[in-house]
Amino acid sequence: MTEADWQIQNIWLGMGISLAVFAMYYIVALISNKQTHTSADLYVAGRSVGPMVNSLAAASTWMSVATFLGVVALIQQLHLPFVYMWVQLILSVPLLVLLYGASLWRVGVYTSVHFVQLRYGRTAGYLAAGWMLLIMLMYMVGQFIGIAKVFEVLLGLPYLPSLIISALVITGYITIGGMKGATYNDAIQMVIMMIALLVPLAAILKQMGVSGYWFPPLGYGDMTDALLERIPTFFDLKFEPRFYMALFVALTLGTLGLPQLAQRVLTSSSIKAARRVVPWFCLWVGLMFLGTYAMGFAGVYHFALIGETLTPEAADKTTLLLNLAYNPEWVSAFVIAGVLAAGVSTIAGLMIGVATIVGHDIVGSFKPDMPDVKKLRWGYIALAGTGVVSLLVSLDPPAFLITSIFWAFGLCATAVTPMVVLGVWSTRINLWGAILGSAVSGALYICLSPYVFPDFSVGNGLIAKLGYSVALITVPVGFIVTILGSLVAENLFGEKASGELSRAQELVEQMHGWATVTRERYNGVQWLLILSALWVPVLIWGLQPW
Amino acid sequence: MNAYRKEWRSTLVFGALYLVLAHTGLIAIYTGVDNSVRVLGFPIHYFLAIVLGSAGVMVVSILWNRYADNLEDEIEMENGKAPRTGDAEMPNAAALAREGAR
Repeated sequence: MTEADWQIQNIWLGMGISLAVFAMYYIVALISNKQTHTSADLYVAGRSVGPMVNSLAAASTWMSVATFLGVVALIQQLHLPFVYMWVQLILSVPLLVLLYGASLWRVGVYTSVHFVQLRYGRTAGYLAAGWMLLIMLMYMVGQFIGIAKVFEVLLGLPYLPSLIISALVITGYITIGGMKGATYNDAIQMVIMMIALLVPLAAILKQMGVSGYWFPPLGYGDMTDALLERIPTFFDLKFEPRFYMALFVALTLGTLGLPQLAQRVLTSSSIKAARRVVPWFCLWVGLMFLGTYAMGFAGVYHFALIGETLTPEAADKTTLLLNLAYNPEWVSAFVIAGVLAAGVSTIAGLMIGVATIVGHDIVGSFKPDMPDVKKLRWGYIALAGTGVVSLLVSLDPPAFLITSIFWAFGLCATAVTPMVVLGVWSTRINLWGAILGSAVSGALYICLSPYVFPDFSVGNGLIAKLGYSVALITVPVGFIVTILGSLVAENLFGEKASGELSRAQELVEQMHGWATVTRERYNGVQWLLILSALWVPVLIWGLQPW
Repeated sequence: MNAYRKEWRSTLVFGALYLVLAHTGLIAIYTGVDNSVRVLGFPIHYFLAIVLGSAGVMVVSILWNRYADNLEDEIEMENGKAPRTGDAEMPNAAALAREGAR
C-alpha cells in the first residue's frame, strides 16, 4: 500500500473544503473580536458561555488529530487494552468539575496556575506554570506537526510550507478571536467532527452489510465473529493488573489536571452552567469515542475481507482508506475537514491556555496593578507569541517534546494534580508541601522515564514510554510528599505557618460556597494521613520490577 | 446530616462511581473474560466497558448535577442561618489570597 492509496485524487476538492471551513473560523473570530473589550473577555470569554456551547467546545478541545487517525490504528494494534485506555479519558471533565472546577469558578480565577498562585503564593505559581507550559507545549507541537502531516499525507502538499502556513493561519484566527472566538469555533468544529466521523461511518457499515449501521456507535456487533476469526485474542486483557491500575494513576489523575480543560469550565456563565457542561460533554465525547471504536472494528473487518495486512503507516489512515473505499470522494474531503477541525480545536484551547498563563498569570504577577487596556494588549501579544514560538519549536522539535502525549498526562498527574486537588479540599496543605511535592515528584518522573536517563528507566517498552510504570511510583510520591511535607512544615515554621493556615482557611471555605469562616471545615488531618497510607501499597506495587 | 458532610460524602460517592464505570478493565481482570457471552453481538466485558464508559458516566453526571444543585441550596440555607457574631465575616477571598501571595 502506498501514499497514493490514501490521498484523494481531486486535491482541489480537499483544498476547497479546507479553505471554506477556515474562512468560517475567521468570520467567527472577527465577530468575536468585536465583542472582546477586556482581558477577562480575552482569557475566559467574559465568563459568559452557556453549557451547550461550552460542552461542545470542551469536547472539541479534547479531540485531536489522533482521534481520527492514530486511535483507529492503535485499536488495531493494541486491541482491547487500548479501548480500556481510551474509555476512561472521558472522566477528565467530570472529575475536574467535581473535584475542583466548581470551586475554582467561585473564586474567579482564570487558570489552575492562577489558583495555585492565590493558594500557595508566587513561587508555587511559577513552578506550576513551568509544568503546565511544558505539558501544553508538548501537546501543541504534536498538533501543529499533525496538521502539517494531514496536508502532506492526505492532500499531497509539501510538509514544511504546510506546517508554516497552517500554523500561521491557525495562530491568526485564534489571536483575533480570543477565548470567545475559540469557544464558538471549537463548538462548530465539534459538530463538524461528529458529522465527519459518524455519518460516513454509517454509510460504510451499511455497505459492509452490518445490520446496525443506522446507529454506528453500537451497531457493529455483527462483525464480532469475523473479527475473532481474524484476531482471536482481540478481546483478551493481555496486560497484568498493574497496567490497568496505571491507567487510573497516570491517565485519570493526569487528564483531570489539564489546564486547558479547567480553563474551559472557568468560562461558564454560572456555577450551575459549569456543572451542566459535564453531562453534555459526556454525550459528545461518548459518541465520538464509540464511533472511533466502531471505525477501528470496521477497519479490521474490511482488511480481513480483502486479505490485506496494513503497515503501521497505512493503519494510521484507516479512517481515510475506508472512506475512499466505500464513499464518494467529496465525503473523504469532508473527513479531512473533520481531521483538521480536531487538530485546530485542540491547538485553540492550548494556545489560549499558554497565553493566559504567560500573559495573565506570569506577567500579571509582576505588574498586578496594570490597567486592563494594557492587560488586553499583553494578552494579544501572548497569544500571537505562543503561536509563533510553537511554530518555531515545531520546525525542529527537540526529541523530548515529541514523545507521546500520554507521557505528559503522567507528568500532570504527578506534579500538578496533587497540589491543585489537595489545595481545594484541605486547608492543611501549604506552600512548602505543595512546592516540595510537585518539584520532587515531577523531577523524579522525568529522571525515571526512558527519555532522559534510559539506564534508570522503570519498566520497559510501551508502559515505560507512555509513563505508566513511572507514574505508579511518582504519583504516590507526589501525594505523600505534598501531604507529609505540609504537616512537617506546619510544625517547623511556627507563626509563618499559622498565617498560611489562616489564609488558606478563609480561601478554601469561600471556594466551597460558605459565607462564614469557621476554621473547622476542610481542616482535618486524619483523612490526609489515610490518603497517604492508601498510596503506600500502590507505591510498593510500582517499585516491583515489571 | 449537615451540608458540609453531604458535600464530602457525595464527592467521594460520585467520584468512586465515575472510577468504577470507566475502569471496568480492573473488574474484568478479576472476573475473567468470556467471548461467548454477548450483548448486542459484543462480548459482555467489551460491551460494559464502552457503554458504562460513555452512557454510564453521562447518567451519573446527570444525577450528580441534580444532587450538587440541591446541595448548593442547602449550603445557602446554612449560610443564611449561620450566626455572624463570633465567626469571621468572609472577606473577598480572592483579594485576601492575592494580598497573601504578594
